[in-house]
Order: sequence, then C-alpha cells, then structure tokens
Amino acid sequence: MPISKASSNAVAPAALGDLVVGSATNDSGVLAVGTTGQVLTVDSTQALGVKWATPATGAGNLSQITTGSLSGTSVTLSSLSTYAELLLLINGYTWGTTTSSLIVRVNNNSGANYNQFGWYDNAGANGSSVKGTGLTSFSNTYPESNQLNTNADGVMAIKFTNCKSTGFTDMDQKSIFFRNADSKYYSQTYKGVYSQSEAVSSLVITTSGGYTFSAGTYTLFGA
Amino acid sequence: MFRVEHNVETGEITEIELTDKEIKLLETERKENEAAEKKAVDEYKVKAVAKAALLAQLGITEEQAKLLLS
Repeated sequence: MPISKASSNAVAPAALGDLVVGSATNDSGVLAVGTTGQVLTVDSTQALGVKWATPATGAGNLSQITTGSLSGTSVTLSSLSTYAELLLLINGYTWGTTTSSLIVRVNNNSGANYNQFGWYDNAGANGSSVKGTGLTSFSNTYPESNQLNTNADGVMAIKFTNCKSTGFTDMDQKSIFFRNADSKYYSQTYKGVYSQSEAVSSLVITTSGGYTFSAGTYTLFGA
Repeated sequence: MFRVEHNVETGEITEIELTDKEIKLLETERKENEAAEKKAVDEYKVKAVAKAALLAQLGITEEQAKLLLS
C-alpha cells in the first residue's frame, strides 16, 4: 500500500533519485541523489548512516604508472603503496659481466619469502614443472642454464595482486623468455606468493650478483 | 657503482652511489652467482657426455631416442 506524507512522519524527497532514509526510531531524513556511477554505501559516521560513494577501482583497470631505462646495479620503483595491483614489464635487459638471472624483489626484501610454482620449457624440449619455496627473489633462474648477459631478447612480465593488504601479496603471474649462452631459448610461467605480511611499497629490479645493467626498459602499470 | 631509485609518485629518478658495505655485499653475491653458474654448466656438461655415451651404446641418434620416447 503506498504511504503518503500525510500518513507517515517521513520527510518528502525533493528531487529525482532522492531517498528517504531512517535516521532513528520513527524518524527519517532525505539522502540527496548521488552522481552517475556512485553506489549506496553504509557509513556510520553519516547522519543517516549511509552515503553515495564512488566504488573503488576494480581488478583489470590497470593504467600505466611509469616507464624508464635500466641502469646501475639495480632500479627501485618506489612510492607504490597506493596500488592494489601492479604489473611490471621488463624488456631487452642486458648487463655487463656474466651469465646470471634477472631478479625482482618486493620492498628490497632479500629474505626467504618468495614462493613459486610453474612450468618451464627448454627450446621445445625437456619441459617440466618446477617449484621453489623459500626463495630470495622472483627471478628468471632456470634449473640448468641462465641468461647470457649480452642476449638482449629477454622479456619478463610479473603481476602482483593484493598489494595494499597487510596480508601476503599474490604473485599472480610471471612469464619469462630468454636465451642462454648456447643460444637456446627458454620460457617459464609461474604463480606464487610473497609471504610477508606487509603492503608493497617498492619493487626492485636487479640481477643475481648485482651486475650493472647495460640495456633494458621497464614499464609499470597499476590499479 | 650506483643504483637507481625511481619515485613513481613524483617522477624523480635518482642515481645513488653504493656504500662500501653495499659493494662488499655485491662482491659476495657475484662470487656466489659465478659459483652457482659454474656448477650448473659443469652438471650440464656431465649430463651431455653421459647422454652421448648412452646413445652410442644403443646405436641410435638423439632424434631416434626422442621418437622412441614420444
């Protein structure tokens, strides 16, 4: 049965989309309509206990944060604490000295907090599942051979989710391709977790041995 | 030697000289990396020699062995 203003103590809405909301027992108020895209959210600090709010950016809405060239013994990407998701692309990386592996660390932490499960392929042969727990970084280490430092055709894409949480950070996906000293091509794909209860504030790109980068670019996306 | 810090909020990119302590740590890491690389290469070579000897003993080529296992 429709309730008229005369038959209740409700205040009258003033505009399209306004809501009449209870503010206490037998009392009510008007919540003015929000803007397009906003959703109704419970908030006990509001006089009416609810408000219109813009929903947080969800998964998949990544935008480019920054890009740059690799140089020095490591590159630290800092001030990341506002991002819930991060996707780091590293391309064409070479370094000055010897065969080694590309490394990504969270918050410059070199403790045994990196865990990953995945699969690798050796030029179409000897493919196998591989797991590592208690590692000291997320790297492109291959069980039998690593990247020759002068081969500039390597790529790494690594995505992190749950970055703002104080719980563990998911290493949602890591894909790598590189060439070793015998010019054999290797590809790997992994999922894993950074098992420290802390938000991600920085990512460090370096090599096993901290050799000085001579080429390479990085691009960071976030949401 | 230097490391780079890129503050994505401000866009500022800074080159920071490594301290003596950081350089020493890198030297240790490099020695460890080179030892691990040598070990991996040696193991790979030993395996390759053993594989070649087995193929010779069986009188088949590597391609024929792959065909058998496929």
